[in-house]
Amino acid sequence: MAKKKRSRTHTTRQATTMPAGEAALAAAVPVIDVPAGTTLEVIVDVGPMVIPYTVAYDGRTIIKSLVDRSEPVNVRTGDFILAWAFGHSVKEWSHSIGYSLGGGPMQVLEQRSEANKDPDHSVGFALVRA
Amino acid sequence: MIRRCWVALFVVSVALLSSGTPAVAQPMSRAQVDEAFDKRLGELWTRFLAAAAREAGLTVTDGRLSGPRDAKVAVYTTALDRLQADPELLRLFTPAYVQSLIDEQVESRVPTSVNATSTNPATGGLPEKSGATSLAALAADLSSLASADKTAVSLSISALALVSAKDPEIYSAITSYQRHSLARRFSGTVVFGARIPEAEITGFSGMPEFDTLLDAFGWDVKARVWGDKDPRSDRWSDDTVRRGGLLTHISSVLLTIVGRPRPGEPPQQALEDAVIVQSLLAKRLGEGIAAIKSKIAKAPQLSLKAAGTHLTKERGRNRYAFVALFDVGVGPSDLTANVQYALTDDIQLGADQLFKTKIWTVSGAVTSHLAPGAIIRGRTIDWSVGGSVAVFADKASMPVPAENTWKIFTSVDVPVGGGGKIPVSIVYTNDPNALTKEKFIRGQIGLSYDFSALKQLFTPGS
Repeated sequence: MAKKKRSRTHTTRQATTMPAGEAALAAAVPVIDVPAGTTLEVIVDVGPMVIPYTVAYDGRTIIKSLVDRSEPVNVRTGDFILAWAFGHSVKEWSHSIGYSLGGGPMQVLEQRSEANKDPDHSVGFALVRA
Repeated sequence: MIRRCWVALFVVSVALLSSGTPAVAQPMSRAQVDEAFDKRLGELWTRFLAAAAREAGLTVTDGRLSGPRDAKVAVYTTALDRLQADPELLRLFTPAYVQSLIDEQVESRVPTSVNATSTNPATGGLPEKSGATSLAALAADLSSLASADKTAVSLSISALALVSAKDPEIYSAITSYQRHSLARRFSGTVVFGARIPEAEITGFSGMPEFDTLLDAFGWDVKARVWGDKDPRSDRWSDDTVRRGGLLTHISSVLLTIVGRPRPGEPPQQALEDAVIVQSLLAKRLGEGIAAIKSKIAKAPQLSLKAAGTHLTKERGRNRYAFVALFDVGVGPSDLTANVQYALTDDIQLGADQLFKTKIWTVSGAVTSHLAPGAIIRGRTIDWSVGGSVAVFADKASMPVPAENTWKIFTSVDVPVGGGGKIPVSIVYTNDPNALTKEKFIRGQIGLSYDFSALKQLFTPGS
């Protein structure tokens, strides 16, 4: 539960342009390669919010909360989805979700805020490969 | 025979007592609720997807839908409709579960904003991210205070921040708000260094020096007596935390189910279906958030306000005002109505003796939010129509002539980049002196505009 401070690095592999069609979009899905024996931790930072965000992995809720959280993911061998959903209705909202492998630096999966005039909701996912 | 009956009755009673006593249901923990939710969501999705696929003539094999892309979108849409309409998942989110989410403590507190738009060193040491903004927002208002001055400083104080600042624990903004709902009803402002036109203090604009600027000190106290338009209020928790949380919860868990590769299936196939469902879920989540915002925006709210203005370099002309302020959403528009009673004492204005003015002012405006996103994403063109009437009470007893005044206006705020807007307004009034601040005046009509926001379009980073 306790969250450690980590330095942030660049966003995980993601397409910089918006390709057409599901195949292209699927190809642009971030991939988190988890080496054997390495821990995967999901880290979420949020501003003020009243609609709980949720992070799930392989059909299970990992985090549902209104505040900053970081939680380890019990990774299964194979390809599985890590998904998240955020909705905002409070002024000055912001959120970022990322992950850390083996306690290393945080890799940002998604970062949104009202200050950047981003949409007030998002549903995203990454492929976890272990 | 009778003995056998007693024995039989005894046996039945013992059996009922030993096995028939219902167990007292233990409330589930948050983790247990989430686990039950995940399990039930998976079951419901399997059932609804299979039914929708069967109705569309498609097949579902080991959870994977087969068929043309458009047909799959239609089936996923139908299955999602049924999932959202099913009340079973929402029932899992009990009041205790919702309260547990609200009460969760924040792990870290980092002061990031004090909301002081200018550089006032007094705000530098405020420790709390959520409370700091409302503890004491000290700002030099460099745009327009009382439409006249460029140097006034206003200090806004919230009772909520004053009491929540003493909390030993660290909570989220929603928790702090709900724990001090009574204190949250009160706020106030103190204004130093303002220079206010005399007409705005006395209510007389017909005198030769009605626009003379007077040094003044002002204060106001506002109490919300009915309604609450703040989404952090507990009256909205069922909509935000519970129902809004259902939308995000379904979205994330369902995506992991749809995107789970089946045995022997290439991951790319699963991801393509996940992309389809992601798009559908994002649209529904957006609609859900918009509905929550709309419901809160349309809710009525009534506040009462008391205010005072006192001259700092002259005696007399103390002005006290009592205002009822009402807001409510009407369809796509907002209705605002104010009723004010203002009393100013010790006025001379050339009369032989000092006198008082008592003025009732009723004003209202309807603001429509047009063309959302047409110019700037997430913003609207705001069109307002309104008017006000100021009536002197006890006019006959005053030693100088006083005229009741009225005005009607319409204004349009056009959004521009960098958060700015271009306001244009037209005012029609029976008081020509009320038009002195307008840019263009013809008879009883004044036109005002402000294109200064256009410069933001050429500011890097806007």
